[in-house]
Amino acid sequence: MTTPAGRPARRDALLLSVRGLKVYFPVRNGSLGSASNSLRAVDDLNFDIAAGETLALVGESGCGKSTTGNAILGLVDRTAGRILLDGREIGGRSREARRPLCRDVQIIFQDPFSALDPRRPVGESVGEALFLQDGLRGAALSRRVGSLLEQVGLPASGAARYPDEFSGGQRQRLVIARALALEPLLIVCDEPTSALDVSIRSQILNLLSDLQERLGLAYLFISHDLLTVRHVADRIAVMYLGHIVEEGPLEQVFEASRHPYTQALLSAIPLPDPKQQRQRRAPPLPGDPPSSIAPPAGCPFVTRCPDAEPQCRRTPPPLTRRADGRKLACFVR
Amino acid sequence: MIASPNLSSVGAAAPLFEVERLSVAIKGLSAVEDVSFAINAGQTMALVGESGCGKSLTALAIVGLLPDVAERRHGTVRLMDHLLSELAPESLRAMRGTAVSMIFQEPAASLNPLMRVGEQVAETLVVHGRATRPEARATALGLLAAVGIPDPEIRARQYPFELSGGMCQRVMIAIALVAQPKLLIADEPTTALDVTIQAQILDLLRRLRAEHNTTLLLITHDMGVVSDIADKVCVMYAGRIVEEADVEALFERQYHPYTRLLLRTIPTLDGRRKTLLPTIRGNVPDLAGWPKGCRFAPRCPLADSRCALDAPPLVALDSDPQRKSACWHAEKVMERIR
Repeated sequence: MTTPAGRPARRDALLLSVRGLKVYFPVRNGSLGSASNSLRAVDDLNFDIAAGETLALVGESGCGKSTTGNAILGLVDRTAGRILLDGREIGGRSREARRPLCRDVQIIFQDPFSALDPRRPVGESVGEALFLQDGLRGAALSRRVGSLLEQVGLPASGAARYPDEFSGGQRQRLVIARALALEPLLIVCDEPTSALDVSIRSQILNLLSDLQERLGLAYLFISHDLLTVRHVADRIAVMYLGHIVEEGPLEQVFEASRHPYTQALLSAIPLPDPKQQRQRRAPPLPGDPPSSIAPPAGCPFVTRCPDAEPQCRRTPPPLTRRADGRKLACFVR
Repeated sequence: MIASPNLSSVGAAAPLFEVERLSVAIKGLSAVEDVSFAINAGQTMALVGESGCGKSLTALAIVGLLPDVAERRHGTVRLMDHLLSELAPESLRAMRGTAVSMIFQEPAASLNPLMRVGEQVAETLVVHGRATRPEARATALGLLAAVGIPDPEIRARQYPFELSGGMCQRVMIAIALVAQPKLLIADEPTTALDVTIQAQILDLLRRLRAEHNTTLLLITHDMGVVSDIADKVCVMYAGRIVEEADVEALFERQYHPYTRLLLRTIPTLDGRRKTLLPTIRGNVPDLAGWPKGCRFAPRCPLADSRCALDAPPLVALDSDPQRKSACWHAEKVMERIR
C-alpha cells in the first residue's frame, strides 16, 4: 500500500465518522410556491467507517442511502450534522474545508454511460484530476494514466479511445480508474453494478475487492441488492425512511437479523433456487413506505410493522447498541 | 371483434400458446433468430436473458407491437386456434386485451397521466364490452380491490402520479385482466420496483394464476424471479434460445455453458464474504457483432473449432429427452465447468 506522508495507513483505524447527519429538502406547494414543508431524506444518521473496510448502506428507493453518499461527497448541502474524515471536518463551504474531499473521497456512480464525457478520449477523463490537482503533464501524465488503466484490467493503449468504443463493464472500469487517480482513502460506490449485465457484475465486484485488498481502500457501498452486498461488505447498515434501523457485521445481519424491516427485506429477496425459494417464501410485507414529507410520528416502520405496539406510534426508537454488538432501532426486539 | 375462441377445435394435448421459428430484424440486422417455444394452459414460462438478447423483442413481435425499426422476418405465433402471426393489424389489435394482454416494466409510463386510474380501468371495461358505462365504475372498483389496492374508492379517483410504482403496476394488471385474457405477457414487471414491492406483485401474479388459470409469459433478467414464479424456462443469449427446461431441472443441472456460468456468477444468500465470484470472461456481443457459429463461443471455456463455425441447433438431448440445449458439448457442461 502506498501512503503519502501524513495519511493514515493503519487498517481498521477510524476513517470516517458521520454524526447527526440530516439532509432536508424544502418542498414547495401552494399557489405562492412558498416552502412550507420539508422532505426528510436523511434524518439523524450516525455511523463510522474504518480504514480498509466496506460498509454497505442498503435499503429501498427513497430511504436516503444515495443522499447520504452525496452529503459525504459534498454534492448536497446538509441541514445538520458533522462529517469527519480522519478527524477533520470535511465539506462545508470554504475552499480549505473542501480540499480533502477532492483527494481523499471519490465516487463511482451507477451509470457508467453518463459518467464519462463522450467527446473526450477516456485518458483525459481518467487523468483530469492528476492534471488539475497534481499538475502532471505530458509523458508523466500519460504514464500514470496508462498504469491506472492497467490497474483496472484495461490496456494502457485504451487511453486514446472514446467512451463509445467501450462496453458497459469496461466503462465502469474506466470510472473506477478515474476514482483511483488521486489515491483516495474512501470511495463511495453508489450502486456500482446495478446498470450492468448480470454476467458482467461479478467482474466489477471482484475488481473492487481486489483493489481494496491491494490499496487498503475503504468503501461506502450503497446498494438495494442484498445478494451483491453479501459478497462485498464487512458491515451493513439497513436504512428505512431516512433512518438506520439496524447495523452490524455482515454475518450477523444476514443470518440473525432482528429488526422486523431487515427480516422482511431479506425474506422478500427471491433466491435463484426454486426448491429453496418455495420453502422459504413468506407472505409479503404489506403496503408502501410512507412519504418522507409526512413520516409517522413514532418509528418510521410502524405503518407496516407486524409487531408494532402503542409506544412505537408515539416516539421514534433510538439506534442503540445491544449486548451482541449490533445496533438496533426497535422497542420490541 | 374476434369470435370467442373455440377450444374444442384444438386437440387436448396441443399447447395453448406456440411460437415457431420466430425471427426479428432491426435495421436489417438479425436480432431474434429462429425462436421456438410452447406454453401449456395455466403454465408460467420465463424467457430469461441479459439486455439485448432479444427477449423483449420476442414479446413485442408476438403481440404485433414491434417498433418501426424492427420487422418480423418469419415465424408463426399461435394462441389456441388463432394464428396471431397471420392476422391483419386491426384483427390483432382486437386480440390484444381480449385473448392476450401485456404489462410492461414502467407501469407509470404505461398509464395515461391525465386520467384518473379508476376511469382508465372503467374505460377498458367499456371498450371490451365487459360493462356498460353506468356499471363500469363499480366493476372497476371491484377489479382494483381484486388486485390488492387498498381503499379502492379513494385510489380510483387519483392520478397515476399520486400512486406508488407498485400501486401503478397493480392498476396495469387490473387493466390487463379486464377481458380475462388467455395469455398474459409480463415484460420485466417487477424490475422497476423495490424488493418488498416486487414480492407483493409476484404474490399477486401467483394468486391470479391460481384463480383464473391464466397462462403467463414472463420476460426477465432475474434468476431469482424465475425461480420464484416460473414453471418452465427458456434461456436466451444473443438472439437465440440456448437452453429450455422445467425450472427445477434447470437450476439442478445445466446443459448449456452460458446457463451454467450465469447461475454460478449470481451472488447467493449463503455466499461467503470477500470471496471472489466466478465470472464469465468477455462481454455480451452486440447486434452488429454477433459471432458466427455459436454466439457464446468467444466467451465459452468449452468452445472448439466446430463451435466457431457451426451454430448448434436447440435440440432434445439423447440422454435426457425432457431437456433441450443448443450446444455441441451439452453432455459435458456439468462435468467440465465446475
